[in-house]
Parts: sequence; C-alpha cells; structure tokens
Amino acid sequence: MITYNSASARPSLMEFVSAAKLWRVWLHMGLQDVKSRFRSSALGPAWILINLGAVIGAVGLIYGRLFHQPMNEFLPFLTLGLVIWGFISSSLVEGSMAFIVAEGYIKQFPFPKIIYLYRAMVPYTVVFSVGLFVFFVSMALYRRPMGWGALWAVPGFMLFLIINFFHVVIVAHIGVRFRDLPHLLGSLIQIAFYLTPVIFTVTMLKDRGLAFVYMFNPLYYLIEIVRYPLLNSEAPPAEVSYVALSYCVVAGVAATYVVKKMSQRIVYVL
Amino acid sequence: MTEDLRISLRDVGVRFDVSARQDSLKATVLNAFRPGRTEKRERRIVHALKGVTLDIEHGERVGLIGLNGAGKSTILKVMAGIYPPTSGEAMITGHVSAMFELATGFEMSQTGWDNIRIRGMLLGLTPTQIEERIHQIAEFSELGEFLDYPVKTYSAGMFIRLAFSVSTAINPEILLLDEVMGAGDVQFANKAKRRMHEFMEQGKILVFSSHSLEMLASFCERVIWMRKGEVVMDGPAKIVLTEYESKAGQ
Repeated sequence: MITYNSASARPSLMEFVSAAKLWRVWLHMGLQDVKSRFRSSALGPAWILINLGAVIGAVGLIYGRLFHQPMNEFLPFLTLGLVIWGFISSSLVEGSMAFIVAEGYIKQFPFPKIIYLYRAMVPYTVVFSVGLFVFFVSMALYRRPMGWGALWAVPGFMLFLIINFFHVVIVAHIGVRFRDLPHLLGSLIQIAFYLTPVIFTVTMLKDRGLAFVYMFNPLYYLIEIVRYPLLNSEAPPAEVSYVALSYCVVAGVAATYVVKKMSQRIVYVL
Repeated sequence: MTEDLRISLRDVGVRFDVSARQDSLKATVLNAFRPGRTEKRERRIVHALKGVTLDIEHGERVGLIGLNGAGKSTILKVMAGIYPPTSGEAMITGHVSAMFELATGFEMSQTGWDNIRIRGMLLGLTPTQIEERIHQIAEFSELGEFLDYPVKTYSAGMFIRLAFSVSTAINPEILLLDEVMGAGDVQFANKAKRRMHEFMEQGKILVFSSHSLEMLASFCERVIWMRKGEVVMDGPAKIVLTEYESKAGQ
C-alpha cells in the first residue's frame, strides 16, 4: 500500500531506496542520454576522448612549461584533476537541471522522482570512466609505477560519488524553484576552477605563501580523496580524509533538509 | 495479488502557489534585503482540491465529470501519487497505471524505438516484457519506418499514436485516464477507441474523466461530479448524469 500524507511524515529515505531498486530504469535512461548526446555525430563517444585530449595537450604543454613542471608528473596530474573536476562541475551545473529536464515524466508517471537524480549521475560516471582510462594511458606512457596503494582510490571514489550525489540532490531541488541556479552555478564553478589546485599544484601555492587557497577549499579535499591515491599509490593524508568525510556529513545534512523542505512541492513548481 | 485494490482519499486538499512559479533567485535575494516589500507581493494561491473524501473499491468503474478546471485532472494525479496532497491523506493499494498527457515526456533526440522502451519502463514493464511486446506496439502505432527516426521529427498526431500504443500495451491494475479519447486522425481514432475499450475492461479499478456523457453512461456504474475542487455529487451513474445534464453542466 502506498500512503501519501500531507505532512512531511512520508519517509523520504524510503523513496531513495525504492528508486535505487529501479536501477534498470534509470541506468537505461542515463545510458540513452549518453548515446543521444553523440547521436548522428560521426565520431560519437570518441569526442569525450578528443575533448579531453585537446585540453590536456594544450593546457599541459603550455602550463607545464610555464610552471617549470616535469611532464611525466604534470600531465598525469593534470589529466586526473580535469577528469575529477568534470564530474564535480557536471554534478553541480547539469545536476541543477535534473528535475527540469524530466518534467514531462514527473508530471505523467507515478515513479519515485529520485530516479531522475540517479539517471543524471550516469553520464557523468561514463565520462569520468573514459577520462580515467586516459589517465592510466598517460601513466603508462611515462612509465610511472603504480602500486596496490592506488586501490585507496576505490573507497575515495565511493565517498566522492556520495558527496556528488548530495550535490545533485541539493541543486536539483533548488534548481526547480530558482531557474537562475544553473547559470549562477556555471559562473561560480568557473571561478572555483581557478581557486582549486587542478591545473596548478599544491606545492606551487605553498611556495608562494598562498596555501590558504586550497586549505579552506572543500573542493580540494573532494578531488584529493580520489587523486592522491592514484598518483602516489598510498592512502591520502589523514586530514584530507577527515575533511572529506566531514564535508560529506555536512552535505548529507543539507541534502536531507532540502528534500524534507522541497520534495513534496517539486511537482507543483515544475 | 491477494490484497484488495483500493483508493481512499481522506479530506484531501491541493493548493498551488501560483506566485512561486515566476520567482527568481534575484527577486528572493532582493526581497530578503527589503523586508517591507515582501508582504506587498501578492501570494496567489489556487485551491485545486478542497477536502475531498472518497473511497473506490476493487471492481469499481468510476467516471469524473465537471467543467474544465473543476479538479478532475488534479484528483487523478493525486490518485496516481504524482501530486502529494497538501492537506489530508491519500491511500492507494495496488499498482497504478495512468494515462494523462499523451503529448509530453519524450526524449526528442532519440528514436521512436528508444522512446517506446523508456516509456514502457516508466509504465512499469520489465525490459523482457518490453522486448516481447515491442513489435505489437510498433504495429499498432502504424508509424513504420518513422520509428527509426528521432521523435523530434514527429508531428503532434504521431506523438499521440506512439504514446497511446505504448500506454495501452500494459496490464493495468488501477487504471486512471484523463480525457484521452479521440487520439490521432479519424482512422486511428476508431482503432484507438476499440483498443481503449478493451484496455478499460482490463483495469480492476478504473477511474476516468470525460466530457462525453454517453461514454460515462456506458462505462461506469458510478459518477463523481466535481466543481471548483469539490465533490458536488457522488452516486450511481444514471442519477448523477441526469442531474448534471439538468443543471446544464455548471
């Protein structure tokens, strides 16, 4: 039996679980989204590779020189950073449209709307996987060793995924109410890009007395839980993990609050 | 399914805050700094449903009648679980299949086939069931080679053909329909009518809205007459329809 209450007594968490069980639906929709993005383009998903390759080539060669970085360290670092950043930025910018693009479905089919959030995460993950592949290729090309310690990236990525999902939950709900949000987040994320160690390293900041730029930047820790183990084949420093975990808790609380406040109203505001 | 299917609404109300729709982030932020201004902006609230209480039991066929804007679509969406009631409580036992807007909810850049699959899933079919039925669905839609094209190339009528063919390919338990008669051109409309009749026979509970008194009389034993979000009359089809007609559909 399904009961719909006016009060917020309706168990929101259950909606997340029942939506996850419908994985066949959202996985299918998500993969179709990836396909349709490249439909009737001659190169198809190879464009993910080409985009990444072009950016890394251009940025890597110029900034690597500019910053006097050894290429065998800088290129893999840059690749991984850009790939992780792409995931974060898609979750925030495209994620804020997740409910809006599903409007036709939400108003028509009695499905837990959370499936449209899971669905939104599928393309980001696909693009991320392709990028990760490029990273491994770059590591292999420069003959950089990788040890078992790199597996620390697995729990790191889990945490990363959860945090990004909370991001999507928050921005998707707010994005329905405030249609300016995707544009606002687009600008903010662009600014954040220049404040986060993606194309420059932490050492560069430290050397110039700018350590505060990354220390107080939660996105840095979010990147580092995945990037550090893959580059150094060992567990990330304790403080990185602690900050990332705490940030996850904060984002989780915020997401819960947003869901409680807005979930019931979504269909009326769409 | 041993459990009896059932729809039960207890004092259900639905309010739309119309003013919220046009809100922008800018307006909200600016208003936060101008406390005097916030009160001035009129909050426009529409009461789409006001304290509706009703029970629909296993085996009932119920028609909804009333003018446009009487709350027929809203009450169907509450029954479907799409609109959470803003007051009161709605309890639904059973799997709900709903057919509301046939012309929305498509992936424009994907082909007709892909849209059949997505729509089928959203209607509760498993991937195996979809593959079993997809050729029947395609045949019924008569879209032929158009199914290979992205649906953004479709005409309005073709969208309806596609959606109708998928929506009626399921085995409904609780079936909710919102004025979906008369889909497509004359030829298709006749075919759709027959299919619709078969389909409506299958539903263990059927609730549908229509402006055709004839249809309501032939399909349901019970009719609910709605006006301005309230139930005016709820009873045997003949009595309610006669009364509705005599009041010239107020």
